[in-house]
Amino acid sequence: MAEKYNLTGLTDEEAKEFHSIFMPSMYGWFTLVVMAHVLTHLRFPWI
Amino acid sequence: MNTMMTKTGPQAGMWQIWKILDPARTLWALTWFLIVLGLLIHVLLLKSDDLNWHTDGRPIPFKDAAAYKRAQAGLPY
Repeated sequence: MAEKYNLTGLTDEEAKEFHSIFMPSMYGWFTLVVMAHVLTHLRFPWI
Repeated sequence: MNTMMTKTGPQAGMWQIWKILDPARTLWALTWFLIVLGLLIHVLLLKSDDLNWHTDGRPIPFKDAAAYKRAQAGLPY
């Protein structure tokens, strides 16, 4: 069933491996962005 | 039973997105999208009147702050 929608040619293991790197990286980026906004708002509040 | 699920919960099967979206293309798209978005927001803020951090007077410029401190100390220069 799931194989029917494999458009990229990645195996399940490759997809899971990439996902296991992508998600923590995304959350790390979000953390960085939120911290930057908090610090900026503390120094130069815009609201 | 879905044996491909590694986790339970609503995001259990999200890894399967990489069988639809090509990881390399996705990373390049994200990279350029975030760079352009960041530059766009910075330019918009710098073009605005009150969100331009170069001209908003915050913090008080060093030279003005130093002049104020000298005046408070009674120094003539």
